[in-house]
Amino acid sequence: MTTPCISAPWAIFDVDIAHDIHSIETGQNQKGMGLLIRYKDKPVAFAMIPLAPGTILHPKDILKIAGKKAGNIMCERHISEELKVPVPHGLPSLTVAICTHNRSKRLARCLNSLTRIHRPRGFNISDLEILVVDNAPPDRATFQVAADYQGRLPNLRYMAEHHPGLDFARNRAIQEASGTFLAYLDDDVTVDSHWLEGLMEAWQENPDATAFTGAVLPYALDTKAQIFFEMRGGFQRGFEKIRYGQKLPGNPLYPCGSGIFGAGCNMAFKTDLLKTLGGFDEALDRGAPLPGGGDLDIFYRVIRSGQTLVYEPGFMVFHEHRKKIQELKHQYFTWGLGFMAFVWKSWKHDKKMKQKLVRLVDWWFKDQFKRIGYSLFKPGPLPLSFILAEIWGGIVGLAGTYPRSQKQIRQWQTRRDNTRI
Amino acid sequence: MPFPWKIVHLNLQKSLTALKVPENSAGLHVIWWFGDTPLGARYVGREELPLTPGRIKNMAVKAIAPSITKRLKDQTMEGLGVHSPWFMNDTPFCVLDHGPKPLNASQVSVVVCTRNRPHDLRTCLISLKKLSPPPLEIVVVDNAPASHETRQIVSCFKDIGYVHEPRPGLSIARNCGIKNVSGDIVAFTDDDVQVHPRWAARIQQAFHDPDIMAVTGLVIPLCLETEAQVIFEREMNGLGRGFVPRTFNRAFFLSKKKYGFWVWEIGAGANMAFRRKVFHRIGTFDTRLGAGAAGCSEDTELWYRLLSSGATCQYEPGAVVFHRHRAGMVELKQQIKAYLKGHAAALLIQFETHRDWGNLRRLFFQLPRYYTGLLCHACIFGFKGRYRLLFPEVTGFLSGIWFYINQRKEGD
Repeated sequence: MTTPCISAPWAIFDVDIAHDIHSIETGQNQKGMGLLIRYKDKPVAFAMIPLAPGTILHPKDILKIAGKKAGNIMCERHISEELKVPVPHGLPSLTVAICTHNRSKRLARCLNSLTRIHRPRGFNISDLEILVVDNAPPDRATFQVAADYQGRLPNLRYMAEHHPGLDFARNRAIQEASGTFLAYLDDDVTVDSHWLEGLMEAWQENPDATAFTGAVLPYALDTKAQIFFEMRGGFQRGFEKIRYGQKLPGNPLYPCGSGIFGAGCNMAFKTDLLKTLGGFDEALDRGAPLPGGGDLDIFYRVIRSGQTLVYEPGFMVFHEHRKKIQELKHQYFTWGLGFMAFVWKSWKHDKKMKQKLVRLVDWWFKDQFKRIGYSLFKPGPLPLSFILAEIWGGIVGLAGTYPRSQKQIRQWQTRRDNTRI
Repeated sequence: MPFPWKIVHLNLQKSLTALKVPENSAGLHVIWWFGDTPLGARYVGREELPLTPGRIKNMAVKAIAPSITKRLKDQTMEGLGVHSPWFMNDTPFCVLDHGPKPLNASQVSVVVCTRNRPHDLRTCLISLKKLSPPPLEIVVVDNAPASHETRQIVSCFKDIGYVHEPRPGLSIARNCGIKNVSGDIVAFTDDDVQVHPRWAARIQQAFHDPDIMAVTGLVIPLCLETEAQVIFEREMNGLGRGFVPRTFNRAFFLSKKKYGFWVWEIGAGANMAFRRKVFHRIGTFDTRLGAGAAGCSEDTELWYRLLSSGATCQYEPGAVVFHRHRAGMVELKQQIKAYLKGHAAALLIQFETHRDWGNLRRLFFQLPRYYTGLLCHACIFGFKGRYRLLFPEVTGFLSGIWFYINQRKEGD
């Protein structure tokens, strides 16, 4: 199975149209560009444009793209700037937890981006704590990277969590965190320099919200798989601020859904809220056999506990997508699996939402079959094998993967407890 | 649909304060203004309250953006000294400035037609006296009155003209009003509304282009207290046509004609104005239509004639009136029946005069299909809310056709 005619690599440009715009040009071997458009530092649009190598985009072309893709959003921003409201005094303290497993180079890249963030006015450097949670470390490489950055990031702490599983690491961070808010980053992202300002702005606008998610844009578009994934929408949720409360007009299945709230590689919660909710579900996000679904689950539980979640585009990270088609295909499988494991779990535990969850599963399969139809009659968007991988993931997820995973964890825990005795 | 809703007007020029949960109501209907221009509205349910200023701001931005965006685009197209693209304008509220010239309403004659509603008329006239700047003249047409009460009330006000029209019918009364005024612009309103102080001036301002022959404005509900009012405003879309200015020109008309042009999207008879020369050119209101005859649609029929003749109609939400919707379900049913009766009759009359087949298509295809759909829905989910009005709608529709046939017979 081949992917549709995409040739790699593509360039990524970052243009702020509030300043003087310069022409941009794709390099001699680049077949397109991902164009991030900002206005006064805040992202307003991301355009994926296939171009011939050596094409020049002039300022007026860029403005045209900006107007088409982000005119309305920019107008909203301007209106918003004109309307003054009293903002709450003081900013909350923040702990950033980076959960990593054996990827010290990427971790270094992520930490490096954290050294470059702008601090919002009124935010003390001592209010920012960084935790590197090393999950099941095979060697000392991660420790070494953390030690290297200790000088540049004052409140950086390293800890090892020997229980393998992303959600074990995330729960460890909850115990260790001292900040009012706890932000999670995956090790394969880098943060935008206005990342912290974005989060604090969202908090100032929604002081009652207890969870935040943000934009996730591609870090690189070097391979076919990366371009292809981003063209299909990637992790994007748009550039409008969204507030998710207890109802969402026009979505009858809300709050049940697959990934409407954001992605787990960039999210922040009130630390107390995570403690009351009992943290992340350790049976999810474990690598084999159940490698996903932890973020879906926590967002869902946040909303179901009556809290509010806010999506803020300025709270932006860049994620390095899977480089190989094969890995990407596996990721589709993972999404199907994680999603259905989440549905299974919620169906068991959340009696009020049982009906909605059944309808969600029904909708999901119908949607997948519709996509199969599309891919057969209109080759292009998504190769059939990817859809099949996702459906297969969904079926596996429904076939009792979650309880099996739970059982394994319980066995581990008893074994660990026994050895301790 | 829950009721009542409390209407809250917020001026964005002032700093926003928190909104509390209102007592004894289903929620708030928030309308955002910038000075005296309404820009957007949103229903805020009880469960969403209380609101912090920050959230009100975000809601306001979402609600008013379409209106501001449209004005910015229009301004850039007209090229009023604006060089950068519309979305780069970082002082968007400047688009609401009406230039250095002071507002005036010196060409506007206001006609209020009334029939045996002296109490409502009094509040209407009080609001009209508060118009600033004042219009050229205000004339009350007393239509087939049962007593002298209306005449007495009008005589209490200084400088308000009174005309007596013994023949019943809203179209007849409005035509009588047209004969008795002298301004270049004739603005109509009803006795059950209250006007905004800037209403007349905004109407005159909206006629800035010589091609514009008719202007309509925004109708905001005065209160949403009873179930009937809430059903009318929220489920039947009320009389308001939104906060975005719109231009209806001949090209637009031609593109929609085939499918039965939705003329009522232009506005409502409670808030409309015409250039006086229009009446010489294409005639006055059709006396077969309107309250007292077919029921309504005398306004839409005139717009139809106008657009068909090549003129332009402008919807200007800055010209605001506040309308008191019918409070009781019985009255609402009568009103809706009259609407459909008038609408059906107007479609047939429009077909008769213009031979546009779209009218018949709407009458005999779109409307029956629409009501069959609604009826099926009501049979399954119950006759609740808006569906309680289905019976009067369908009978009104049929009696409109019957009315037209009878009229033709009498004519022969």
